[in-house]
Amino acid sequence: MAEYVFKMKKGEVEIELSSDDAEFVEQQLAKWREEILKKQG
Amino acid sequence: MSTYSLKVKCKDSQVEVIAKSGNVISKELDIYLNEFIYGNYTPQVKSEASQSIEPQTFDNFELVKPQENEVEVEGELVNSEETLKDFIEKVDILDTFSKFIATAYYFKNKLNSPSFTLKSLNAEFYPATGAFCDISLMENAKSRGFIDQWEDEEGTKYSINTNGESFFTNEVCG
Repeated sequence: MAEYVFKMKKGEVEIELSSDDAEFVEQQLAKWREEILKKQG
Repeated sequence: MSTYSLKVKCKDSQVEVIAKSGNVISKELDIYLNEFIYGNYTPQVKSEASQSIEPQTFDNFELVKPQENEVEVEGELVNSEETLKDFIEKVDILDTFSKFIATAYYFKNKLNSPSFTLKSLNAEFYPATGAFCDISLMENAKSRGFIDQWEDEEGTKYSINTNGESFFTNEVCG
């Protein structure tokens, strides 16, 4: 079974999401990407 | 059944949430999303000089790509090609129960495989230790609150939980 890992770091804080639920990880990535682009826009 | 895990590390501290539903993890992630991106994050951890860490700006945000063949175990970078036998010998574990807990820890933190079956565990455990993990060993670990068990389409699955990881780092390695 595949496992997907999504890791972010800011300063000394690091968060790591891992799951075998591809759809869930994809949704979370999309949410982060959207917010990052919104912030940059 | 899917599993969801969220690890949060800050300096020497690490918290991990493991859930069988994405809802809890999603809510936690939303908090970090706001804090990371909109700069509301103010760590409560103090540096060695007892000075507060300044809130970070978005400019410091970066995506981290894990280095190939490397994973971080308790702040120590180790090569993922290290075998279970090497891992157990390095920690100098003598009793079978502790070796079993070390193996469950190795699965989750070294092989990045949080869940395992009795069969998949023994495929690593026997060559490394010369012993088998049987039901009584597993029941002992479960009754002490170190191992979670659940059923999915592949059968009975097990995973070391935060209590088990604490036991390994504080009691076995301590």
